[in-house]
Amino acid sequence: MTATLELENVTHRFGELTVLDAVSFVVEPGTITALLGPSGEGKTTLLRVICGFETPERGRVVVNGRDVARDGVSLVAAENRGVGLVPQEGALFPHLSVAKNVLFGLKQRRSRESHERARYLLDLVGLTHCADKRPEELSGGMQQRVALARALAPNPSVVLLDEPFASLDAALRMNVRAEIIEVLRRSGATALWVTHDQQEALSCADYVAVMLNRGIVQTGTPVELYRSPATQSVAEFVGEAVRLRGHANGTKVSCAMGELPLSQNMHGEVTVIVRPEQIELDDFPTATSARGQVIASRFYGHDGEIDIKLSNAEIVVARLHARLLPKVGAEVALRVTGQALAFF
Amino acid sequence: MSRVLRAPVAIVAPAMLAGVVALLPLIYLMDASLSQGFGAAVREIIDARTTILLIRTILLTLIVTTLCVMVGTINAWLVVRSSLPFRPVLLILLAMPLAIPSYLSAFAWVSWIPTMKGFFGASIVLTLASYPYVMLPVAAMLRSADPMLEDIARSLGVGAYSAILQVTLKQVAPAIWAGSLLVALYVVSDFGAVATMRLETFTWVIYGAYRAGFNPTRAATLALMLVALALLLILLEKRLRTRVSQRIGSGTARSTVRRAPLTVVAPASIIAITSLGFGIGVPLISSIRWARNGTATTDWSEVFGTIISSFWIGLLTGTATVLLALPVGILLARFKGPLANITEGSVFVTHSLPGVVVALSVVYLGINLVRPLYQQLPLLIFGQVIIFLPLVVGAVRTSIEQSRIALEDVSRSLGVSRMATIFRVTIPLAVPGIAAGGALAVLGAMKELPTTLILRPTSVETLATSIWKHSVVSDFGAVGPYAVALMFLAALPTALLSHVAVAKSVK
Repeated sequence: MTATLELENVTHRFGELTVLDAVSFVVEPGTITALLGPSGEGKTTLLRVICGFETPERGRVVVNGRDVARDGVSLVAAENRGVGLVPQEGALFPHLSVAKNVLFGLKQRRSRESHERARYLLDLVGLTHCADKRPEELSGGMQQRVALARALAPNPSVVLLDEPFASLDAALRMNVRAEIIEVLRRSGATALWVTHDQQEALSCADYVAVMLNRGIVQTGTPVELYRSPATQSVAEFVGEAVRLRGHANGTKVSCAMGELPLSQNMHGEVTVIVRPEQIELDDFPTATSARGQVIASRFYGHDGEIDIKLSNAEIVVARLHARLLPKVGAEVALRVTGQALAFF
Repeated sequence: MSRVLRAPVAIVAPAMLAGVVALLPLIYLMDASLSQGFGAAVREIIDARTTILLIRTILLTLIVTTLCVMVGTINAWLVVRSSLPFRPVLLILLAMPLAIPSYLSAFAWVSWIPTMKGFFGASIVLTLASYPYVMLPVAAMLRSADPMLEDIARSLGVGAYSAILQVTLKQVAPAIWAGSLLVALYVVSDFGAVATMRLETFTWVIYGAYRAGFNPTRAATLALMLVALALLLILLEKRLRTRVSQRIGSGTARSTVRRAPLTVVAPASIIAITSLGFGIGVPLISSIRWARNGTATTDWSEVFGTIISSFWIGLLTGTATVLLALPVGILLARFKGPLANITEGSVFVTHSLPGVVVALSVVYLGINLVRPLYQQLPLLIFGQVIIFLPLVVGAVRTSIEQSRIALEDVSRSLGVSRMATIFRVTIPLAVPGIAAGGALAVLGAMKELPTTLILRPTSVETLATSIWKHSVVSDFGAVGPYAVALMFLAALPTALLSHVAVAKSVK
């Protein structure tokens, strides 16, 4: 099966400034792919390139097997690409009712089929009762759901979501995110989801493409990215990381936390990375257990974190169940579960 | 982020046409000015009478603009920030002088105090007629300005008066500059008030030279000098305008304002009462009195006929101007580039053309290019469209720039073409601006005197020309009905205009 969306070496500049540097990735049909990267990495520009509002200087954009842009030439106009867009903050048409917003992209807006389609989509996002309301009467989360219904209405090949929850407050964001994912799953749509939030990307998407330094550095499932990041910067970007100096010797690495197993064969001086949740208090310490003093403690409610200064002055972070949090100043023994990551 | 897009031909072609149309008359004006050779034109410029004319016009502009800044800003502050009751109604009332043509209020004053004729009278009448040009933009900006800053100044130990002067006044400075420019342009191009007050400024002398013996060199050369003066004013304003400071960080400006206490409001209210009494009261009461005295001799069918023709000319001008301004506004707001720059430049120059100058150049154009249309309705509408095009373009452009560009992107991603997006998204969102622009053109066309006097078909009388015709022979009774009709007809677009101008900025 061919990919729904394919980018090949897409490069784009604004004047002297390179904003996209040989970006390549694919989005498979029916999947949700997250485009994850820090703010200001050119993610929005990439979406605009896919939509057809910018033409990339070099590279190829393919939608459903059809070239839509290649090497500085836009081959298919934005309105004919079949690429739906849910922009930041929804951007509903303020002069149209909710139902008319959803109808906007349908060909025969007066026909019965169109009205049925709009009703079906409003039902899908659970807002049938709001059909005649004005956009400003809806909450932020409801506006996002209408924006998604509107984007899905003309049955696009792929839907692009540009940081759709950036403007919602944290409590609301979790719920709206779950609802949107649910709608995308039920409609069977193919989606590319831009976000700078690692948790959002890891928890919602089938695949994640990590964008760093204006290019894609790794694409994979959330588990692959978290467990086997391709580079140290990916490792540090997709989750919290504890960094230690170490010496690799085959599938083992020795560092201040003791001798840890590695996922691959390496030799020499390396940077060792473990996740805070891999570090545990050692209730039955041996002579070789790592030891240190707790220098800070943060209580989050369900869990907490402590900073521990090891005997060689390196500092590690451990994530613990809230009721296990030791007091600041306490001497603790530590152990590491699972494999460590190492990078030259 | 750069956003260079090719504009659709359906936008570019009419926009460029508008640019050319706007400049065409100016070319004929230059031609007329040089018709008796370059030397003749230069002699007119260095003539001693011309120098006195220039000094007098500049002095009048300076005094009126200064007075308008004071009156307009104080009134704006009163309707936005004070504790006075009925502030929205007060705003519309204070904007009403826009509905009263300057010649009418000048005539009312002169018939009341005949000794007012001359420089003093012209300054008073023009100030009362044009302070709303400062008041409206300043009020709009005050509405959207962050009232927190004034509070912060107070919390840092600055007194109530000082806080207003040091903080609030600085916040609205750009609006004051923009308003001053409008007033200054109004003063240099006003014909009715100075003519009634018998004050020789450029416009009246140009009209006189044109009527006297059709001396094309003198009339056209003076007209070109007036255009240069107006252009200079525009450039000066661009140079002096201060940048608008934006609120830093998220969070919208607080919408509730602590109202100023009575000790601050009371002295300011005197200004508002004076503006209302002198600006609306005097012309309105005079007109009603004239109308009552003259009812016996009034030919009502003629009055109604005149109302209808004024209304039609206003409506035609408004519609034509909006149709021409729309593509220009869209081009300037959404498709920035060399084409937009050229069009903007052309419209920009048009902004400096006083009514007398436009009328004169359209006459030359008519005689040379489209003889059969000379003194026909289409040429009158054409001349008025040129006069009001820049104002309407400004209104349309601003309202398009205020709507989110993301909405247009969404529309295209939903399969709607660029042209269809303009009709289904861009224009509907700009309706308030388009309506305001249209109201501005209708209002202007109904009041416009010199253009109508020079370009109208000989059989057609409008309210403006009827008022003029009877007032130059001091036939008070006959002026009354026309004056009352014009004021009431013009009140509606004025109310709409002031409402849109100030209310829209709250969003």
